[in-house]
Amino acid sequence: MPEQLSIEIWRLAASYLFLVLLLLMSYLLRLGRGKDFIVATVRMTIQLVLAGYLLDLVFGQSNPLVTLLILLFMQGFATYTIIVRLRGKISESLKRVVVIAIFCGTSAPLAYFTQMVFPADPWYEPRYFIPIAGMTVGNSMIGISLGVERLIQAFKESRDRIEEALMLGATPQMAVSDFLGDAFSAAIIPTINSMLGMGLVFIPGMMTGQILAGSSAIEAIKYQIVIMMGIAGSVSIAVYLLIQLGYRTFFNNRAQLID
Amino acid sequence: MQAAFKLQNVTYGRILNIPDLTIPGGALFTVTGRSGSGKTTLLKLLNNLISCDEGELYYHGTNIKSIDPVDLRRRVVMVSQTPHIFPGSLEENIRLAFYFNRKEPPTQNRIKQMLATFNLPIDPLQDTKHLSGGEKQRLALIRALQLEPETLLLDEPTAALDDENTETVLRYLTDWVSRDGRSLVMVSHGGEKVKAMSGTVLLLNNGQIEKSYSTAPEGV
Repeated sequence: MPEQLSIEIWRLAASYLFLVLLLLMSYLLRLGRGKDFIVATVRMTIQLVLAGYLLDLVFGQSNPLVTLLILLFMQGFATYTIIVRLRGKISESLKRVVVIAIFCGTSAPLAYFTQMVFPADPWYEPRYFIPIAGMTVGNSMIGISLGVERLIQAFKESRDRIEEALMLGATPQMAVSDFLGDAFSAAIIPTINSMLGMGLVFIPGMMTGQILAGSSAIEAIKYQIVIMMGIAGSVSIAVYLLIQLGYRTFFNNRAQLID
Repeated sequence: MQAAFKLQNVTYGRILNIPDLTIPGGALFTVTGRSGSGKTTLLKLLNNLISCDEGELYYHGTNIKSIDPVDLRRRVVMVSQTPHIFPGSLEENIRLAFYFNRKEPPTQNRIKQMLATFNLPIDPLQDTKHLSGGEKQRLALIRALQLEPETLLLDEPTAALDDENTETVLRYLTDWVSRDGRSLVMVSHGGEKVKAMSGTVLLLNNGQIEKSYSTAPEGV
């Protein structure tokens, strides 16, 4: 296996030349967004440096409680991100559903994954558990965010259609089943598209990282496949929970649409 | 005649305030009044699409709170003034209503027959997106009638129809009630044809009962 290539500080600094290029283009195109690009780059740098030191610290210990606390933090932050994005549009009961979808939708597949597919020893080995948890929680967050937005939009724009179905004797589930399918598809499509293009259109970040770090491409592919399957499973379970529990929050116990 | 609905001290916001009302079963009952007088709200209450703030509502003697809401809507079907037609063909629309009711859908011949009865000589497999307002209203009516509910709630069923089609629809509805002994509650702004067929007329004004009277059917 080739030795891992270490990036010296001056080379790291050299990569920022691309930011200068971006600023120049922004100036030439009169975008007026130079400040945004600088803030994004600085934030990315600080966040990654902090995450790097934190992960180094975490990887140095082997305590299941610490690993689970980090998972809990990721899930909590993902929930917070979704809810903040939908502030003013999302009801209290739908917020609770988002919490359930994120926590159950990511914990259950992670448990299966770490026991059956990727049996690290011990299961809570942070070097493996935390990156896998990060990828599943992150992707589920994107899926839930898309799904919940689509669900809210459907109830807002198709109220007449839902009410018509209710008038004709439909159960709430029958009245909204088309919209549930749409919301599920919208949420899962980014994951499916990413699977379709993988290896042909792009080489995924995790695989690239492994190859650059000196792993064999075959080994990196095996990792990537199991991770992608884990992500697909987690996103689908989380979004399924979201839509199946979420649509109920738009109805009261008399099967009436809530205003 | 057994009451289909009985309302006692029913209020809904500032829209409706009905101290006492009995809607007879097996008969025609027309609700009339100006725009904003609470006619559609009353229908929605009867269909359990909304619940009253105060008071009690009974259907065939049972408080509707103790009837399963979906089951009630299968027995008491409502057609709104501007009904929503689902995407797809005419036949698919009718089939969907049967799916909602967990009933076996009618045959294509039966659907063709009903379309012809309502002056809709259209292929049932045709897409509904090209239908006119009046055609959509008649399709919605057929969709509801085919379900054979105990009670039908119609909100301005002839609003988008010309005289000829109004006559056809009202004649069919009169026959439907007298033939099958089913109940029909119909909201209408009035019109001579509607008045002529009504068994009981309720006049609402600002959400309150102004008067209620019986009219002998004189034919449509």
